[in-house]
Amino acid sequence: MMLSESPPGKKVRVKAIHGGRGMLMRLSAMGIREGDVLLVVSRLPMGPVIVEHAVHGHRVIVGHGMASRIEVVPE
Amino acid sequence: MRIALVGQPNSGKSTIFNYIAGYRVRTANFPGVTVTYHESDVMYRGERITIVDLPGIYSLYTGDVAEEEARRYLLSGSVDVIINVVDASVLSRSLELTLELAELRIPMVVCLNMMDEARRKGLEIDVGTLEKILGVPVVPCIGNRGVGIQEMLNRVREARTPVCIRFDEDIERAIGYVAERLPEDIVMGTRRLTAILLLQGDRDALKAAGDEMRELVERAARALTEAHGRDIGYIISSQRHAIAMDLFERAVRVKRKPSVSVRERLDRYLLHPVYGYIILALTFMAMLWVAFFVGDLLSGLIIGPLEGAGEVYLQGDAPMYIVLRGVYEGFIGGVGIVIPYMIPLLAVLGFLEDVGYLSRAAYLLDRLFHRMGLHGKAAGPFLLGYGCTVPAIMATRILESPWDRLRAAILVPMVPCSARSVVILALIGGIFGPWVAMAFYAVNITVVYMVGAFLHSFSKGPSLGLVMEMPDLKMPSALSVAKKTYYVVYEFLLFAWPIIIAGSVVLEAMAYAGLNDGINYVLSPLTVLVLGLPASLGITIVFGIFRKELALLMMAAALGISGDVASGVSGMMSPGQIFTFVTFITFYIPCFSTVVVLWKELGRRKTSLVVLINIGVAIALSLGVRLVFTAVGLF
Repeated sequence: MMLSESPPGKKVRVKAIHGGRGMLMRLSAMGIREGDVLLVVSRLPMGPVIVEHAVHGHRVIVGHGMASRIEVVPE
Repeated sequence: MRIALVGQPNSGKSTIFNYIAGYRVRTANFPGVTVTYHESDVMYRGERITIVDLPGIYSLYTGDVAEEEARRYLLSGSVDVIINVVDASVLSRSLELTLELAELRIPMVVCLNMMDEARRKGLEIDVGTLEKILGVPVVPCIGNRGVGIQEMLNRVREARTPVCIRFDEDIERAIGYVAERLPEDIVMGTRRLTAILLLQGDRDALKAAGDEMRELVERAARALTEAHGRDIGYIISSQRHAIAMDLFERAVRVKRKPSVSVRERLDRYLLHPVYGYIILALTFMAMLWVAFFVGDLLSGLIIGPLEGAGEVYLQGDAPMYIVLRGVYEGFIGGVGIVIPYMIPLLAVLGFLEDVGYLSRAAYLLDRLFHRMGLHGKAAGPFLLGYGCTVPAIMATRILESPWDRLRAAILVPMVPCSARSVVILALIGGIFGPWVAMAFYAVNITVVYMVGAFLHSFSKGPSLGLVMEMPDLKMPSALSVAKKTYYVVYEFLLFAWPIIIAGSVVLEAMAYAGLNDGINYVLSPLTVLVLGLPASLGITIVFGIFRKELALLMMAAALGISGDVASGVSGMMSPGQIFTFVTFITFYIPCFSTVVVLWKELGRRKTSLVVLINIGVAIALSLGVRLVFTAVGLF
């Protein structure tokens, strides 16, 4: 399942980030890495997703394009 | 001594800076670009200290223009002490930057800001342990209440170079290998840091390195990437992350999960797929209301008496009077835009930003901006554009790619700034009523959107997606909003006011020399043939280049209207002509100050492109308006 399809209110674990170095580094600078647990806070249809990092506790807005390249599994 | 405040965006750096800095704050430019930072001299125990507030950075690995400049500044060797401002409520993530900054080998103090937030989240931070592990003073603070800042300054003397972390053995070997072979002239900060940045594939570092060095680095990076089965840049940052997490676990106890707070409940509405947009629309309308009605009220109070005085004392035909009148008109123009329109709007925007609403607006508007190939972050510059185009153009630097910036720079001048709103409101609002004026704004947004989508059709490949932090909602401090507004206004006055004054002198001289009829004649193919307007309005278009709101006054003068402009104009021009004129004035060319700032930001060629596109859109649109009104018989 991709992050862009994850239902709000559920926790997911990042399984893989399908992107180049630029995307990996941008996400990791924001504290999102493979293996991290995220709470899906809110989502707009075909739009961005807001996630809350389970450990850091901060919230990040991830655009639809990027969210559809972040593979997650339910936690 | 020069102290730099360094921290991640939203760590409360600027709040702390504002607290320490006096009113004598310098806004400085990084050479060559208009990314600004603030610095201020303070006397502390008999010593003069310069405090520098650098743009927020997530990491030393470069992202947008502002981040790049902040890093360059840190690497320049002019910083004596770093105060690393850390948002204690997201300590685990913030520590990664702290560990990265350690590689700079500059004495450091860690300021654990927002301790109250951290406590609210149930984090119990053992400051002593952190100090011991990092090897630098760590001072808990609550920046927006000034708690702990004095203590932090007291401990600047104890600043130490922090402990450096070690990566896996093979990575360390590669770092050492590259570091040893670095030519002296490409070292950024330290040899070790340069080697790390090179291995991570940092664009700046690689550009500086010669072909030979690049090849050597790429070989080493490839070998490591193969050994670890993942991009080596990512591996390095992951290892730093793991060390930061370990540090966090040793120094922090997480006590309890906080319950759902009022703010989170509020967020449910603000981010809601239906209510969210309603709130956004209401916020937007409230903002315009502040700009128009409050601005109009203030402007009447300030400008009225000033202009009266000018009419009494500055009448005369001697050349001196022309210069004086020009300077005076320019002076009033500056006061007339800045105080009534710019300050209220900037204050509202600053408030929305500090509350944390701008990032929520970015979330809601992301999809819309995507059709234009931009993302939600562009919401900031566009909203700012309703105040003044100059700071809005400067704000486009938060966009990462140059192509995105160019498109934003083409579109932002089409958003009616407060000066153009004066024309729209006086003519459309004054003659046809407030709802028609609102509709005009709606049409304007649609046009901007369509031009944006059209420009995006030239994009190659998908644009960079949106990733941005969403700070928690919080009550902003009045001081912070006031200072933020002050900085932008100050920058505007310094930059645009002289241009406005010089422009006014030129215009006065032109009128005196009797050039106006000639200009009207030269412009008549456009005004009369294409737009179907009276030839005498040609001069107002020229005036509008210098100061858009002047177009209104000039129009009254050109048409020989005295008294209320709206009723005068409606007697002399048909509804179709009025709409055509306002449409043209709104879109045709960014004002002179905007052109200058575009030039500084984007260079000559791109500025010409922006201007040409704006003129093209203006002519096409106003011609369209004319045809529509002719078709329904109102022209």
